[in-house]
Amino acid sequence: MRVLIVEDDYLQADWLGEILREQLEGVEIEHIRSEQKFYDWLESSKGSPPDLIILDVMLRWTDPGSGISAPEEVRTGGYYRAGLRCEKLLRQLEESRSTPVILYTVLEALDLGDDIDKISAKSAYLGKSSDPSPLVEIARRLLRR
Amino acid sequence: MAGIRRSQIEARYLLGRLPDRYCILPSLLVTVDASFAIISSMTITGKASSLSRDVVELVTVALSQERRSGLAEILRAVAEAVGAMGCILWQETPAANQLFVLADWWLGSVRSYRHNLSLENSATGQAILHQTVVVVNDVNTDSRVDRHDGFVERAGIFCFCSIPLKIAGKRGALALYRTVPQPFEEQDLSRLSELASLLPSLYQTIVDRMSYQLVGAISKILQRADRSAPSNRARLRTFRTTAQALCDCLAGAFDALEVSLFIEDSLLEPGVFRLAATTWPERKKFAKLTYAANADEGLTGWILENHKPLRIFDLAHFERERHLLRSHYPRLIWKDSLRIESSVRRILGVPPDKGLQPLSFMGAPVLSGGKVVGVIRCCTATQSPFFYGEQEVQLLELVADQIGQIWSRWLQQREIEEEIRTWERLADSMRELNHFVEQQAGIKAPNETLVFHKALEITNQVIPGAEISDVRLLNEQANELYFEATCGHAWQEGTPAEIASRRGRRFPVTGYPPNSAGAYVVQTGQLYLNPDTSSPKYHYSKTFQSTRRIIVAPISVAGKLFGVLDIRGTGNREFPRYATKIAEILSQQLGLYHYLLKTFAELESFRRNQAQTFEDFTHQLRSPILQVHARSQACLRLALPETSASENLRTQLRAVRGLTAKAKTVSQSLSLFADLAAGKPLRPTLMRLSADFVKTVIEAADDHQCTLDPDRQLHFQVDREGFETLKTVDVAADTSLLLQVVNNLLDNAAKYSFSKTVVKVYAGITASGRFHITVMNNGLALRKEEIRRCLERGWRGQGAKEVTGEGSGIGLWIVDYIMKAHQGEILIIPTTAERWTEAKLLFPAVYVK
Repeated sequence: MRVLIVEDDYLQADWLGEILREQLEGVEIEHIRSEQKFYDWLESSKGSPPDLIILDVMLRWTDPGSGISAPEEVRTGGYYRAGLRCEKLLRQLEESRSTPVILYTVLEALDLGDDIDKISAKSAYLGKSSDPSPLVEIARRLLRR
Repeated sequence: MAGIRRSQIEARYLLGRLPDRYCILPSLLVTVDASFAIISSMTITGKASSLSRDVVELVTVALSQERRSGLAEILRAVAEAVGAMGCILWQETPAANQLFVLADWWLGSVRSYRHNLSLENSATGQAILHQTVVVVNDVNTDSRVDRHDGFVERAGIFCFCSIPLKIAGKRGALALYRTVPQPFEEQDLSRLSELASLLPSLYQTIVDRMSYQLVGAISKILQRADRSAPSNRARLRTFRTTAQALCDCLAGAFDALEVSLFIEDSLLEPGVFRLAATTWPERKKFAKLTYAANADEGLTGWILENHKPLRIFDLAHFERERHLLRSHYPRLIWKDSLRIESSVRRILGVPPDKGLQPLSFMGAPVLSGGKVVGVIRCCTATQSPFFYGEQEVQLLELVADQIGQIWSRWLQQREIEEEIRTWERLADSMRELNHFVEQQAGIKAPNETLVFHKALEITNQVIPGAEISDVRLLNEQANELYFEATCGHAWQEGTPAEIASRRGRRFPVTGYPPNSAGAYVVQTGQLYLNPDTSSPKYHYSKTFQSTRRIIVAPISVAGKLFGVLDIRGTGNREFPRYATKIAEILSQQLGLYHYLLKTFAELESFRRNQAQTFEDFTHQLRSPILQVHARSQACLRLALPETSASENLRTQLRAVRGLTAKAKTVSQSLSLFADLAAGKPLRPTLMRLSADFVKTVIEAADDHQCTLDPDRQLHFQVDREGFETLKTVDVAADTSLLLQVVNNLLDNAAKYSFSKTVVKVYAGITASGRFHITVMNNGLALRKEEIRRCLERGWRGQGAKEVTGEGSGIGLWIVDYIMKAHQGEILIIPTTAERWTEAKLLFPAVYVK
């Protein structure tokens, strides 16, 4: 089983990877640290989507020194909606349309406003906390399907 | 030539009025005046040539008269034509029982002092009653002669004849008197009858000519006043001079002893008709200098109240003819405040035993657009004819209209000028008031009452007639208005207790009908205007009994009513028509000020609450973070065995310490932000900075290092050596704040540095002798133009936004504040071509031994 963690906080991603490896048997973890890297990955991984994507919502666009400028929709849409843009793009591709996604974020559902209603039925929202068990429980359920 | 042409026209007019039996021949030259000449080549012929000469003489005399008293000259010509020594033109009085002298002429110094004659018991009266010529050839023997007043004896009359005629539509008679025993012959009577038949036309000619000249003269006086004055103000200021000229002119035309003009200044003293000028010789004794439009005030008051002219044949007979007069002029009273009979006798030198001429009176309202603006009155002709007839009244009305039109025009012009000045004053005052409000808005506790008070001062200064004003605000809980600000002397009148009681009044706004003007405005949201508080249909507050007019305007913004602006006047001056517009503008402005200051107060309160909330949260955050940080540090210091498990634990602990250090920095930034946003000055606790501070810097660098993604291969490097200079220089710093500054700079370096680079931290003394701590990194560029802006609160470069979502743009803003509080500064050196950016913390330094 392959799980993709899209998270720009190294410590957060590292901790999540360790938890999932401990709790879910035979899981392989991949890590992407920016919105731009996610777009690259989406382009290169056509035909072989992961079994689960854990997607942060507040993501930086790119790493310093990459030299890749943000497109207009990123500039205007901003940092606080990066994960939602990734989720929308994911659902537009045939091969990843049904890939389960957990939107794992420090933002409250209220902070996301109407945008939370626009996410796919295949996606779930979960607020970040220091207790990893809800995440593990949802991940396990989605991977079983 | 113009004079000749006018005389020609008058002659044609006169000749046209001659009875039909006269025909006009084109060869006779008629001399009109000694100074100007020819009417035309016309000849007037009659039945006999001698009569023609008499007629020519009569017409010539008539054409040379310019005043009503010229009628006496015509009588002279008639008398001389038949060798008589005296001549009286009698006319029937309005009461119809008497005859009065319309005009008379006597040879030499003879004066009759006779002004009345019985209609029934006199020879002349018989001539009128029977419409026949009466001849008395011996007054001593003829029983028809009325001898009761000694007139015949005084004048030395021997014989006379009376010829009936009609003049100005009234019955009368022309009586000729001889003081020698020379009876009137048939030839005399025939000639007299012919000449008498010309008298009505000749008299009318004199009146027309006089009218024409009077209207022209009045017009000239008014035009001169209109054109010669440099301004409208000057015109009004010198109106008394103009009015006097008008009265003098009228007095001349009517031979009147008294001509007076009363005029109303509707702007300054509405309803008060003040004496502008008079020809009455005893002006100082003029009983009344002002009148109101009230018939109870006498003849002048009657004219003003009724807007109609008034004519009284003889004031001496007022009481006797009162009923007859009141049938024409209802409610007419006469107060005789000038004691006219005795005054006229004194002024004209008429002894008490001699008859006094009729004290004829006429007055006309000065009207403009149907509104009475004054009155002009004439009394007591000093020469015959003594009686003012219907024609004279019509002429006086015509003159009054001329005066009324020009007076109204001047007043309108003044009103326009005053309105322009008022708007200019308002604009200036509003500019000052706005500036004042701007200043108030800038201070911690704006004084709204002071703003209202200033606005009220402007109200009283700008609106003509406004003397008392106040702002009443609405207490929504109690549903009542209360005084918030007041202005005007009346507010200070009375004892302190009375003033306090007045200020403490409340005005309930519920209940229908509204029981105060303020309540009406609150209920309707409409402006309330009461131009006359004596009118019972208006309700108004009784705070000031002297109030005569009132404007109350709503103070509101976006349909929400806060209170009312109340403006009152107590004097004669009415509010001008634009006063309500000004009141609306001022009240709208007050509404905006109220809203603005209230919003500022709310924002200030919100800002204070926000700052308190920040402080509270920061406090709640910092305590546990500091504890976690301290304990993780303690754990790391514990000597754990060098095993792989313990190494892993050490890594985890370092990460915990790094994270708590970051949380501590964020927490402190939040606290500083709250303080600075609330305007609190930073008060660093300055102590000498030790060389050991480098350990704190190394630990901070390590905290950042251990939270970085290892894949970035970014390293922090602290150069210890430069900090050794702190052993020889004295640098004062607050280590807690300084660590905050260093952490902010390291945090920026960690975020914006490229992978596989080094963040260098070093210290030392600059060329200018200042101590510095420098953080240098290789990463995103800060261009020259961005250097100035990067210290602004909330600024973030586009590149920064793309590589990290975190960051509110307040880090460097706080650093700048902290450095300034240390008498130092932060210096950002723009990125070099090799992508190096330096942030230097510069401190004043003193060398120590």
